[in-house]
Amino acid sequence: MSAAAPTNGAHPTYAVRGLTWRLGPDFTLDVPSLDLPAGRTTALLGRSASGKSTLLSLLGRVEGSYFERAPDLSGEVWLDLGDAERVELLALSERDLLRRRLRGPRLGFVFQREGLFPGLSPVDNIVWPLTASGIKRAEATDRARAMLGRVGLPESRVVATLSGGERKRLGLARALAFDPGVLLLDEPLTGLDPEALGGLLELLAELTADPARTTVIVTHQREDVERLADHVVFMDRGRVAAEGTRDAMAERLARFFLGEVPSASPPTSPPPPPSPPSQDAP
Amino acid sequence: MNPGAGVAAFGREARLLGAVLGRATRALPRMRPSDYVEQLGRVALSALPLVGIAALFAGMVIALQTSLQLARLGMEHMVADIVSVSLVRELAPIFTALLMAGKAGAGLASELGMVTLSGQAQAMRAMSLDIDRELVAPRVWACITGTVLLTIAAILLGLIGGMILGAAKLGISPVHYLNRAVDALAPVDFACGLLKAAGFGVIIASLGVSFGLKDKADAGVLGRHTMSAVVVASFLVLVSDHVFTTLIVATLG
Repeated sequence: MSAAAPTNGAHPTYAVRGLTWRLGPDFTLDVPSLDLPAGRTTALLGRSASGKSTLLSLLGRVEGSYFERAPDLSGEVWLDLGDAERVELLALSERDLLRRRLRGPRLGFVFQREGLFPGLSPVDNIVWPLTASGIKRAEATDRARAMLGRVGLPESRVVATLSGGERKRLGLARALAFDPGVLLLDEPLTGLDPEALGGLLELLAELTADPARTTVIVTHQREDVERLADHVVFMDRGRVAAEGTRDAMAERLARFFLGEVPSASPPTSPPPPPSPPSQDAP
Repeated sequence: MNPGAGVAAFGREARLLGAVLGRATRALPRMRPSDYVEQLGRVALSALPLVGIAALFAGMVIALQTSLQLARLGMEHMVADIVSVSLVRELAPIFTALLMAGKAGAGLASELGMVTLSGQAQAMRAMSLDIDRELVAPRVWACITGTVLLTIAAILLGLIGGMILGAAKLGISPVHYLNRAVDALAPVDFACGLLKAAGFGVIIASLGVSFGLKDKADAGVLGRHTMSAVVVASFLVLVSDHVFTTLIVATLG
């Protein structure tokens, strides 16, 4: 996919408005306005602890914990999947999210810590979420085997004995097995050996080239950005320091990978949010 | 910790316990019976040898101690009456609950703690896997019913222990012992013991699950949460015993 491809004029997949999340005395995620284009791959870049993974967790609605959603969180994250399923994600309770089955089938998330199920085989790690979402077991098993083949992982392995790179591949295969329209990747290629990295980068390039799929990737690696990203967002101390197409950000990208991280301006009061798209009835 | 902070922390913990019970109850219709049976096997069957042997010896010790006191009054023939009533109403529920707090409570807190620490819980949320249905409800209901079932087993084996001691040391025939034990017991005694066992099961299950699913940064926190699940559950079992007994006696007589 060309990094300079024009936007298709559709609604952005994500529209973040007036988002603030105070995570402690020294850190607040503060994103007054950010649009992530549909059908493109956006790279979130920045120093460690700049808020990239935090923002990604909100885009995938996996923030907070089992017991409570994040306190001190306000703002709106609009998700437009282009099929009349336009929702304000932060307004959805955990129960709403489960009922709508957005996460998994629609929003695929790959974590830094893969969160694999060690008591299950690699195939069952993929089959369990698929069958829980209503896919028949035979079809789920076929999909799981096909996905394991694509990421180059044998079915016979025991999850507890997988290496770090193999765990990454299984985590990726599990998210991809749903064939989600949105892929949220948190450093999916970190810690891979060169051979595995090349193979998975090819696979991700192929998947993200699909114009029907929007991808957001948190990464520190130049190769990921060059191969995958159309759009770049630089984060700094919880705020967006700069954003634009990869071509428009080419100079900043070059400086970033030489160690010069763009700085965010001091926080300002957020502009009034644009009139939000109407939320569909559940 | 100042008293205000202590009260606030107690309130937070109580809210979490309520949340676990509420979620387990709401998820009950969605729970797969096979998951419940699997967890019941893990909770009850695996603890049966431990509880059974403990109950057998506890029955013997209670019979021995009781007989020593009754001998002063020349009333050794009442050993079976006292052992059976004390076992059913009080001792079997209590020591079963304390053993379950150590075994099932610690097991729940550590197992679910690893699920949380390793990112499995977050991954489950990310794939629309219903944690309440898959993890919470089967464990909570298996722990509650398992505690009741194990209490019944503890009552039976405790009575057998007393019977063995009575036959071996006091010369009471097993048939006579059992007849006295059965005559001494009323349905209200069983209701009292088993209702308490269910209450203790609620405490153990909700504490194990809530400490297990709390956010934790490292394995050290997991260890502390597991220890807390056992200590707090044991403490609450002993404290709530008085409350349950008062309520049940006031209700059932």
